[in-house]
Amino acid sequence: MADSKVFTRTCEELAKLTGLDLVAMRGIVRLALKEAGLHASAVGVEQMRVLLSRVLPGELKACGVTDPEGVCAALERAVAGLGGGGESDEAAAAAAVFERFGRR
Amino acid sequence: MAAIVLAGSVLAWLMGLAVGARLLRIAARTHQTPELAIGLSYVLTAGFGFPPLILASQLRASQPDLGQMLLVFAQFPICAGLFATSLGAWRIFRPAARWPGVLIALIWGSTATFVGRAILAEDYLDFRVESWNAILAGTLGWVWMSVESFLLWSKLRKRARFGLASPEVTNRVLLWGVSSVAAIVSSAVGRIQIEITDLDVKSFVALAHSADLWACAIAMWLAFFPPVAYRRRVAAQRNLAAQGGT
Repeated sequence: MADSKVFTRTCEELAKLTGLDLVAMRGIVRLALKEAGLHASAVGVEQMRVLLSRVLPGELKACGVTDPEGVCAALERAVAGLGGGGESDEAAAAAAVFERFGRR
Repeated sequence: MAAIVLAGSVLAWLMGLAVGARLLRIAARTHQTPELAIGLSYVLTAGFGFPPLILASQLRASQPDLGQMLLVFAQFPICAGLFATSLGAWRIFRPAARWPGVLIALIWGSTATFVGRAILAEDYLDFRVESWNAILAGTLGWVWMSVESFLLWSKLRKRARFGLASPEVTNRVLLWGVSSVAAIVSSAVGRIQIEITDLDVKSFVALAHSADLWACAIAMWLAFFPPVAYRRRVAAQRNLAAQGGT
């Protein structure tokens, strides 16, 4: 399954902003996604914004990036403009079914 | 002990009927396949399948003919319910995939063959209810449901830590998985119970079956009709996630 536009764009921008290799950056972001129960093929804008604010700063800091919070904050604004994404997130779709199951 | 065993069956029957009715009511509003399929699954399996099964278990010793007839009769709604279960699993967890269609066709083919044989049987007393291909096919739907539930729960649990999934829904998925496992165990133990002739062993198996049905009913009750204290406990996890706690 192909990676989502949000994932690809985030990795490219992070690699530019941090000077790290794109392949390495993709690996870092994939690990962060896994920690949050997400997948590169289905991650959407809102999910990536949460990842950028709460997971990726720690991962980037561990890789020796200076000011990871600043980098992620800048990228959060750029990602917000992408719009859409996450349409193929089967887990979110299944969770929506279970949300309906709980209605009265 | 007989009362405890009977209580487990009656409780699972009532809970299955309540959950099924509720899901069908939701399906009438949303017009979505998952709630329709799972609602039908519960109403058919528990609502229409359990009463003749419970009666059969009570009557088999005193009136074996009637007991056997009820046992065969119970298989029709149960098989239809198991088919609805696998359809529901497909529409909930893999709506975009095509391969579950093959799996469901196998399940349907196997259960339909069993039901067809039961209808065409010249003498229902000679008809063996313990058709292993139907048992396997029927249980497969619940195995699939439970595996998918736990996989989904594993993802949602991680997401909930970051506020990306609702703790209430995450908890409901976990309880759904638990009740699915209980349904698998119930199906297997129920069939084994029919085969056993030794009365001591049969009593023990009946007790284990009842305990499993209690577990299934409690998991469904917490998932669909949670008491206030339980809802508060789950909501506390939501607040923790919102505060950034992990």
